[in-house]
Amino acid sequence: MAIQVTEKAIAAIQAAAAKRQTPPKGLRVGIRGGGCTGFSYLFEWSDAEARPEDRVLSFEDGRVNVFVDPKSFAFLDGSTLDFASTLMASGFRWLNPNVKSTCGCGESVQF
Amino acid sequence: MPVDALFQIAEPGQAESKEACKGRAVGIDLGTTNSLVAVVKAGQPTCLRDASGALLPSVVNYAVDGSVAVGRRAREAAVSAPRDTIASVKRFMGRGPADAEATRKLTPYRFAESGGNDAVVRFLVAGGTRTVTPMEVSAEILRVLRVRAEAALGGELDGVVITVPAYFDDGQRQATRDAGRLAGMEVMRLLNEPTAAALAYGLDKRAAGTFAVFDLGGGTFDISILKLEGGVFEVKSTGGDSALGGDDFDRAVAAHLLRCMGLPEDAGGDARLARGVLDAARAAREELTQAEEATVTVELSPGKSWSGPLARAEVEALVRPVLERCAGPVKRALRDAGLEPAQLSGVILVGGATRMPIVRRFVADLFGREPLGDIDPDEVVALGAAIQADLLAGGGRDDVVLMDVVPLSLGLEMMGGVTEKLIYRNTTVPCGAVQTFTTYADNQTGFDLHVVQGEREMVADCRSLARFKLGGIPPMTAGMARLQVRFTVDADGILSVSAREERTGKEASIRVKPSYGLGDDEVERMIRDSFEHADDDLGARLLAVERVEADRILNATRAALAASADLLQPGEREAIEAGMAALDTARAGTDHLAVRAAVAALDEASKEFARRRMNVALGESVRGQALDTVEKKVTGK
Repeated sequence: MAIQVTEKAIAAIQAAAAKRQTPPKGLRVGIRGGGCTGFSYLFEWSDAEARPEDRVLSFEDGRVNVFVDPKSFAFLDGSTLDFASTLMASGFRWLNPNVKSTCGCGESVQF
Repeated sequence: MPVDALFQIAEPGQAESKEACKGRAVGIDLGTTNSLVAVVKAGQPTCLRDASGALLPSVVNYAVDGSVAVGRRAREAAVSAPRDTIASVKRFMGRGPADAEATRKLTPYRFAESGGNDAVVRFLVAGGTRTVTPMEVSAEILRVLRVRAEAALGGELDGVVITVPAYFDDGQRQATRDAGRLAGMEVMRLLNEPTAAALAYGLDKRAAGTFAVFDLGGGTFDISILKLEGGVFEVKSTGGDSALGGDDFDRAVAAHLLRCMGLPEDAGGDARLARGVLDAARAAREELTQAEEATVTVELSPGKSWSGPLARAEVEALVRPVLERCAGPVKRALRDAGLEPAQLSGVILVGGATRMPIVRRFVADLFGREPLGDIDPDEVVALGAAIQADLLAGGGRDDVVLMDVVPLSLGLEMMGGVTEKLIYRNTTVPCGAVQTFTTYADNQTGFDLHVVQGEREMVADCRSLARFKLGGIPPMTAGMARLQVRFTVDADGILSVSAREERTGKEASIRVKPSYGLGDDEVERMIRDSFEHADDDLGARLLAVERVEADRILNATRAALAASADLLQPGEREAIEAGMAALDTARAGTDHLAVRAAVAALDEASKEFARRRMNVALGESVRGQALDTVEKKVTGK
């Protein structure tokens, strides 16, 4: 399996990166401890190149790069990274089949 | 379908480090002779000065009237009240009464009788009316620097970095930390003095290297060999002489001046004259750093003074034998580090005495290279501490990477041997995490806490750090107890784990050093293993979690069958027992989804039975009561 990134998400990453002062080397996504139900998602710019052990998802001829550490990859495998706009807000979301439950706020997950 | 939160992209580091950004952070060099405070302003470290300069003499005087003087005023008082004036308190930090006993002959101080197993030495001051610990004396010095810094920065300090000699042991470091706290400061980190000097020279920006730091202060000489690797300095070896410094130079020069005056070397027991000659010697030595010749004037008695010429060459000849004593410790430190002088990438000069041209020549000869000395050697340590403080406070120098991180994740063992990580690998220290747990079984009266370190999902694959118990919890239904567990890793990498049961207030805690006995190779291997086993581990974790759930439901069902056999419908027991048997089989397998399905099936098979049990329980609690009473009970009105 793999991690899918939707076109909307790629466009959103590219647009957000363009607004940033320092062009990021990539977007780091992953799973971290914390949150009310055990795990939470990580979304942050990486100013450093991908680490040797990272999985790198490259789009738009290498202009958009998503870094995933191998540990997080195991949890995110099979998921889709999407960008959604609702009336209230817009942002990234994971469509993750491995998730057993999410908390009320949706910010933390259990596998 | 649960709600999906929408995420925004965070700046690097922000997501992982929830430590609040700090604004005003300073570096403090708490020296044996002098202390300084420095801050990074507009990207440049600078020492903060008062009217008499940057150096604050590390001298504290406790007067009989209860007043406390620090600095120059205290140093002046030393002549008239030597016993109530503590100079070089640093030598007593973290020392016990037995250590103080050893120095009794060398110092004029009086010590309070130790009350049995007293761990710290106490000075008897203010004419014998007051006792103070070395920490309290140091705190007086720190307080003066704090006031100076707060006046200069216009607000309360958020944190400080205090430097300590590389050879300070844990007790001495803890004492320094305590002194900072007594002075009302948050000590973000203790930094080794040689490392601070190296930071001030920006050596951390080099790829790698080995450096010697030659620190000749007022009363102590320290030599340290540092190894830089990956932006982190490691102290390879240290050496020195705790009774060798610029003061010895002054004494040698003073003895010479007294000879020129035709007076005995102890100035005939005249303490005031001895002080005067020493001051003149120091002034002449400082003047001769620049000039080739100076005129020395000493006041012999009111209205009568002696005056004479002194050449740099003369001073150098006097100082030379003292300076030669530095060679031994330097050679030993190099040998301990397994290095030849030629293998060093640089030598740094620290301490006021290294301003003297003869000292620079001596160091150059000793190491076979020109030392780095263009930063004021009195200030260099404080400047480096300020850079570190600025960095820790998030001053945004993104060109420097000098952070201590948690090398391996820290967590707790859960039911089923699963690791629950509280602090993740590579989190910068200091850091902390809190998580709440509950009881697994009914009437559980204690918790066994097993603290583990590692990246793997199963405890068996991680490193065990510590175990402790929290007992004395009254019997409660499973899930009713609330155990709050707090993990804190301080700047020195010490992990404190505390657990508190919130209903009863029962507490237990433990402290461990997770890096103890852990080499780089070991860390590397554990991380690599976690990558290689990521898939297996995820499976093992999911299975373990489902098995715990299976055990819980099997136990509950078994108990229910035993307690309420009369409520079973014909054939129901068979169905439930079949479900239990199926769950037992699935539980013994390795497919977590099969276990989950079997749990659901058993749940379904026993649903009606459970509902009947619930009705009976409810019926019992309201039987024989009037309807309105029950209504009140249920609605809570």
